[in-house]
Amino acid sequence: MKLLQKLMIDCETSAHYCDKAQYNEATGMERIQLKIHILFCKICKSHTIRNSKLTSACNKASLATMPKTDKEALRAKLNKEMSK
Amino acid sequence: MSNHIIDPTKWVDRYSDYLYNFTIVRVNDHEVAQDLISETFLAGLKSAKNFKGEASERTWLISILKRKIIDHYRKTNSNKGKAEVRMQYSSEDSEGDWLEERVKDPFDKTAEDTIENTELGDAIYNCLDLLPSKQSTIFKMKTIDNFDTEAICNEFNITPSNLWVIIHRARTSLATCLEKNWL
Ligand SMILES: [Zn+2]
Repeated sequence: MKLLQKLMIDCETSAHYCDKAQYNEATGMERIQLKIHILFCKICKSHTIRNSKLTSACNKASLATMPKTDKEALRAKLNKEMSK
Repeated sequence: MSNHIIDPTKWVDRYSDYLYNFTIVRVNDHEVAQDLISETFLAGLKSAKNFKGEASERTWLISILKRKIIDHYRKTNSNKGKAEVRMQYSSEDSEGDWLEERVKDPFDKTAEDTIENTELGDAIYNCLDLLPSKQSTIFKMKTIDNFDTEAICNEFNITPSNLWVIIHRARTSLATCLEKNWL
């Protein structure tokens, strides 16, 4: 009975574990708790599916950001040009 | 539409990631991408007085960048550019200027996928643009640059639970924004 209680989480916790799982930061226990929760909770189930789709979309798009050092260089170049 | 003004001191903060992502998937070379963006900003500075404030600053910069990318394709006569996307640009119009024709080879699945993923990347960045800037910066650091939670928390002086709240909000808004066409 105690184990069962431990396995049950509320919707807010489930959403949090779901976010962590998107970054592979959910522990094994948290994953199990999330899986059990979405067996019973339709809202969290659809949220989890949507959230996972967003993760695969981001992976598929292979997004990039400009490296920090290049940003600095660009900023310096622009500033220099503006002060001319 | 409100009257847009130009503020070059904010360009790097506001647009460098967006422009970089837009460019790198199309030219596939970091140095080239960096040069094209740098040229774009400098050209923007030079022609800032011609900016009429009708389009947003970002749309205006992107239209300059697109021209630079096409020039680059022309100069290098890049086979890759030819095979994957053919772009046409009419200098009259700034919105409908980016025509991409799909390669008509039905067996060329890779090219199709590449185009779709490029468009997906643009779509994600467009949605990211609608978020509050702190949210989008933190989302990018966590999701694209794979920074540690701790590193991000230190940089923004927030707790891990603050961070997860921000990530949760960002992800929810992004999913809503992308849902109709992409998820
Ligand atoms: Zn729930």
